[in-house]
Amino acid sequence: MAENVEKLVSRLDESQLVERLKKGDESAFRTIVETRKDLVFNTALGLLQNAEDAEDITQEVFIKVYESVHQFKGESAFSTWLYKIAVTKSLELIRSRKRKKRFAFITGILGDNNELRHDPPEFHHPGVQFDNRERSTILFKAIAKLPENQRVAFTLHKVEGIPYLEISEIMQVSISAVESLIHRAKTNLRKDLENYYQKNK
Amino acid sequence: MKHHDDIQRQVDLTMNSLDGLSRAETTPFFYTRLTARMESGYESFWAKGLAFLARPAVALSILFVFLLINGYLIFSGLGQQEETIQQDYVAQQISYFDNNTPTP
Repeated sequence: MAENVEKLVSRLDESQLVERLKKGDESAFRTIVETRKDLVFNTALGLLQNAEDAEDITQEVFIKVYESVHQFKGESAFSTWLYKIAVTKSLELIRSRKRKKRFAFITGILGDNNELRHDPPEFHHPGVQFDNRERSTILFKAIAKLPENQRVAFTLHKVEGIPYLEISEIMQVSISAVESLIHRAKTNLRKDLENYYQKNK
Repeated sequence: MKHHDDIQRQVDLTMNSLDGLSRAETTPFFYTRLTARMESGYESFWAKGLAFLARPAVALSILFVFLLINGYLIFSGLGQQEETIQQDYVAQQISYFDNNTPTP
């Protein structure tokens, strides 16, 4: 009960902030950024597995919020809208990286280009408990191989701890579709990890 | 069998390695950097346009269309040139006969 009241109050605060932002109130924008920057950053970091890229995307998300806040109708929670933008922007970057990787042979001919990372280094999430550091790196490597939808659903659930209902709103699919995506993601990850441990026993 | 169980144990431990994960935090002064980026107009119209044109698919499509137009112009130009040469030749022939026709 108390939790529901808390949610309602935060939703009211949120709508007031959004209304103020729509009127161009800069302090409202600052409050939104300061209170939600880690939510966006952690989501982008889970998907992109690179801190610099995640910070870049976090900035882009808030620029988008500032520019198109009038499009937010309040039908879903403001955080859901933020997650949606963060996922879209992160996927755009992943797709663009994949395209660049396909054209890596051209950049190879043209010489070293520091902008492109065709083989990203191992990723260590800063929030992982120390004992799990090495294992989580192996898991993140396997997550990066998942199909896009499975990767998004699994990451949102595991890294941000978002419930299935909200993931369904973010991804605009049904709850059963989210359940199915996460189940398939887990099956694929287990297969990949089994192969990994068989090769590296 | 023991080997299989060991692998399954390793897989289980790795699958659960994100349990208790705490949220990653942005670096300090994020808001200052964000506003600086917004003020510098990083994502200006021209920057967006250039980024779009720099996409390999777009760049290759433009190149392909350019080559197609180029090829069309070259080949259509060749046809016209041949026609002009033929016309010139016929005109020369006519003028030759005109000049060399004996007057009665």
